[in-house]
Amino acid sequence: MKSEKEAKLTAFTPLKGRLFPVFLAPFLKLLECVCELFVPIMVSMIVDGCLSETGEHYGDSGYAFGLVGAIFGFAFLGFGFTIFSQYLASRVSSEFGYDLRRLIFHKISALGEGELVSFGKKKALNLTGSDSIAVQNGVFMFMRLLTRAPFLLIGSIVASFILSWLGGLFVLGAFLLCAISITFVIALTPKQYGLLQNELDQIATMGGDALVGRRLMRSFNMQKGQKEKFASASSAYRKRAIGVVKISAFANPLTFAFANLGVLLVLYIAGFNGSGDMPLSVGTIIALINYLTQSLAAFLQFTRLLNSLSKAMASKKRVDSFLSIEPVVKEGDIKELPSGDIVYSLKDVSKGFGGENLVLKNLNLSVHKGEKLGIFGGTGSGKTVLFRLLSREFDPSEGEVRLYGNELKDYAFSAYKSQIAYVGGMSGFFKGSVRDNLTLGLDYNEEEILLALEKASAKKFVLEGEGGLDREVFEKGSNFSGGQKQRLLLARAILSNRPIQIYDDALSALDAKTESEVRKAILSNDDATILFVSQRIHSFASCDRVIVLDQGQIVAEGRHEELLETCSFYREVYELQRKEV
Amino acid sequence: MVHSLKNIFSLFKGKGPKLVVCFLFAFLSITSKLAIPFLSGKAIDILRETFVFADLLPYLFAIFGLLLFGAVMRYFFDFLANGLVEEVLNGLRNDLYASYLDSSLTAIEKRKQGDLLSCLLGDMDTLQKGLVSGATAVYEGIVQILLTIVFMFLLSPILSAAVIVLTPISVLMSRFIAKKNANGFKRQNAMLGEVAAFALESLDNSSTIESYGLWKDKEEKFAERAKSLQKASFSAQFAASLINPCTRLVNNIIYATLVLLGVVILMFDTPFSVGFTVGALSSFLSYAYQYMAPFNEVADASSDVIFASVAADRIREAVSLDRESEEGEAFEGNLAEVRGENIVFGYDPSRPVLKGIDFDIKKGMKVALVGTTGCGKTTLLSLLMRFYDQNSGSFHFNESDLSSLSLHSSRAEEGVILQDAILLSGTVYENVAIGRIDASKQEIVQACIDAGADPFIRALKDGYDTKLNANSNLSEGQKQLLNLARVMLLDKELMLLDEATSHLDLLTEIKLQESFRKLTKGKTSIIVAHRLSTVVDSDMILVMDQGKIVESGTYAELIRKNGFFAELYRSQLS
Repeated sequence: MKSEKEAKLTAFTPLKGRLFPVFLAPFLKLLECVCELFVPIMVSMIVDGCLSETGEHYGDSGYAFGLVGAIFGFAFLGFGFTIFSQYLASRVSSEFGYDLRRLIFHKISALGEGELVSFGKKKALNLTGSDSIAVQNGVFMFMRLLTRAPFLLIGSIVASFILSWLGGLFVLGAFLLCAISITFVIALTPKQYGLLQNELDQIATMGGDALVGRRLMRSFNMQKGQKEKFASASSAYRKRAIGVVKISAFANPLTFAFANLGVLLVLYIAGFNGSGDMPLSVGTIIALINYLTQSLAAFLQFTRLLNSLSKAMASKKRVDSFLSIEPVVKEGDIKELPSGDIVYSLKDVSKGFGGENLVLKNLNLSVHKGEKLGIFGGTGSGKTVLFRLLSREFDPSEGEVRLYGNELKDYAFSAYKSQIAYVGGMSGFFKGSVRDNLTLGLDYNEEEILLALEKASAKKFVLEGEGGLDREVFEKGSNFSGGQKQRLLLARAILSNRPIQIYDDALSALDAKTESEVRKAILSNDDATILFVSQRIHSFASCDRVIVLDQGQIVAEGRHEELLETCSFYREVYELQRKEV
Repeated sequence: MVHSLKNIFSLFKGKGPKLVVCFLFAFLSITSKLAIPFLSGKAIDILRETFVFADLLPYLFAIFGLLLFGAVMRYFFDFLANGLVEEVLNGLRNDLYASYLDSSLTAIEKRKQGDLLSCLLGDMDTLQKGLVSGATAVYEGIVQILLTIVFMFLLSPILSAAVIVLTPISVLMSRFIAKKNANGFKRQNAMLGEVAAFALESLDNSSTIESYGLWKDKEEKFAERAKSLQKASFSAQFAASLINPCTRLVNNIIYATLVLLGVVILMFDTPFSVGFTVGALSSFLSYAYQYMAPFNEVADASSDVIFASVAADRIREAVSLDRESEEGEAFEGNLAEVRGENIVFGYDPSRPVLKGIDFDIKKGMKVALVGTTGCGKTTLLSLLMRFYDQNSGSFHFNESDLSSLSLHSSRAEEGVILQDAILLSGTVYENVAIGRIDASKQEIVQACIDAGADPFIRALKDGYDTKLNANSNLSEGQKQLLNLARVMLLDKELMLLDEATSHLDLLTEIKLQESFRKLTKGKTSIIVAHRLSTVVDSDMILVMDQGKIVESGTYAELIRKNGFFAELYRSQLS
């Protein structure tokens, strides 16, 4: 899955191979603009040629109607070009969106759990949703809209120069002034928009907190303080928004003023020079005025587009940063897993996450083949981090984790991933049938499935439920109770029959009697190496060995009976639990 | 549309003068804007006919004056209108947030939290867009279109009539396409939802997928969904992108028709030819252009305005949820007794959860509430925290009826650990100090040490300065430790602890026993425990079943009695 060429992916990578249509669409737009730009020329030809007494075709209505006919013709021709361009834009941008989403999803699949968590799964989810839509829209807009305004502008200038070099200069001057003022406005706003977004995020977070933490805030009498905090966040947003408006409100009046200044100058020059010989014909003046007003509208549309485009660019940046994540956990070369008596061996393993405390400290541990190792440890003991090291969600900060003699990081992922079954927590359900959720697409026959269900004490409720093995599993398994979900996950692990099995407090939601039955079924698998975490000390009686983890260190180790003798803490908890039993 | 505009206008109550000023700016700037082509048409005629520069000059000055004046007025309009919108939104935001915090929980919980929150985000955004678009619609639509018609009629009634008759075609066309589109976008959104749901499931289960080698399969399935999305999004986008070209086509045809009519009028002797000049045709063509352009804008704006009106309704509804009462006297003195008398309560009054609860707890007592899931323990605590009001019966703090006290003062007596440990956005320091914002850093750290949270906090990258939020990657157990630290920092007379340790393992819980003892020492405490072994040293155990207290007494008494509690105790342990 991880090819060597993945390094330089960006959100625009899927555009490769589509460059022809991507640029053809704007070209068609250009043709449409040309059609539009011909219209004022036609009008000026009518005015100067047919309506003015000095014109060559004065009074020639046939000629005039011919020109009017051309204006009609250009309208339809332009329409044809633009429809084709829109079609291309919709087609290509939607296909681009498809590829982009797949690319992002592929990256999700290529990254390890650790990297996904540290990037933020919610952020990754948004990439496949709102962000890729935004980038897709950006491409769409580029292809069908963005080029229209510049083409109209440039075309107007060119056409004006064709009509009269002096007129061309005025149009050019007016546009330059408009462009400068708009650039000024645009240059100032994106940073403001960024800051505005930060303020908005703050508001969103506070709102979410107030709803989720509604009881908390009420019971701690936090309302007054929070409202004050919110009011200042809200008015900070407002101030920032008005700050943006202060700048952006210049766009409309400035372009209006400059375009009309152009009109004014055209009229001034036409009249000023004037003793008899007009430098600009009336038709030219009308055409120039037309270009000036027409392009004014294009200008304003363009600024609006740029705003929405900056949104697309922000999304593109997020996508890029995700696609460029270098997996921290890199694959090694060893493809075959050797065999041996010692499955795992940890030497002086420490793991920290940047804080002043380490989560695991100098851990030394060997796990033998077929061993049933009990692990006893509470919140913060480091057991979960230990398991994440064993399945290589990340590497240790210091020390070595070895699997069958070689360092875990030297293996190809395929060498060991399929060796380990981990059960813990309540997640891991897919929408689909119970059967699909147990087999995960692999081939098992009915008997094997039923046997696994029986061992996990899940056969009864599965078979008695409506639909049996084909019963539908909802999102997150929400149509099963906690205890049922746990048993289904256990059945899946039992069915997979992997050589290394980790049960991370995986029987916690079962009642004592069921727990004991399932535990026995799990631990009776002689071939499998099993790491078994439980909060119930008596469950360790059937383990070969037990380690006690506390604050990242092994504080005691031995058989259950030995620990009862030697470890006072172990015994204390045992007594307490026995009193309950 | 009219209804929507009215609805939105009502948001500006009390801002009438500002609205009038806005409207005035709009009127002045548009009049200036539209007078310019009129004047330039006159100027063209002078150039054509008399060609005297002195005759031209007044027109040029007038144009110059108008463009300056129009520009300034436009700036004021944009600035003022946006400022006014932000002012209204700011007020609404504060009202909304106040509603989140001050409304009764019954009112809030009847609604979907996501919907309520989206009032603050999506709906506000929609409203903002709608208000700005609405302002534009008024500006470009109503004012500009009306004034343009006036100017056009001044130039040529017959051409004006042609424009007015023809223009609705383009509007109807764009409306027609937009209507067809609505379905396309609906389908696109539905497909987007499916893609998102699939991605979410895959992300949630990524470690399972990884370990069972399912990524390839998932990628294929994702591609299928993405493909359907692509198809939906193609047709939606293409249909939507037809609106502009189609209206442009119609507009261009109208434009060509006007040129045709103009030529006919100018070249032939028609009844309309009197007084119609080339300059007038030029002005007229500019007007026609300016007249047609805003129709699309107004059409766009009208859908924005309709959406905004819906958003405004939703926001209004969220703002006007039933509030918690602010009435009541302050509690004074030392809390010596907490009593409940015949408390009856149901979230739905016809199905009571609590069916007549009586208790009497004296200062310093440690009381445990036990019973099977759903027997009403948490509900009873919720009533004591006054999240809800009981249907009948009364609670008493000393001799004061709880409902006669202000919420603030009765809650101020209580130190609470809720079942769900929730992180607020802010640093660890801030999260712990929510009940006492003025607590010093040392006090906070001490509270965390007492709560057993210190070691894991120090393992975080920025320690106590680590920024947390509701989605922070802490385990439930760690969150509960922080929850505990929050209360450790307070000094309250009545401790209400609802399964404060449910996500902690026994080991941690045992370690924390000393801290709990310290926390409840000398205080009255009511504890819902999830392990019965921890209730052994309570001064009183209230055993609840199906909304009633069925037994009470000390551990020894209850075991001796061999009743419901003894049975419960045995069943939980075996």
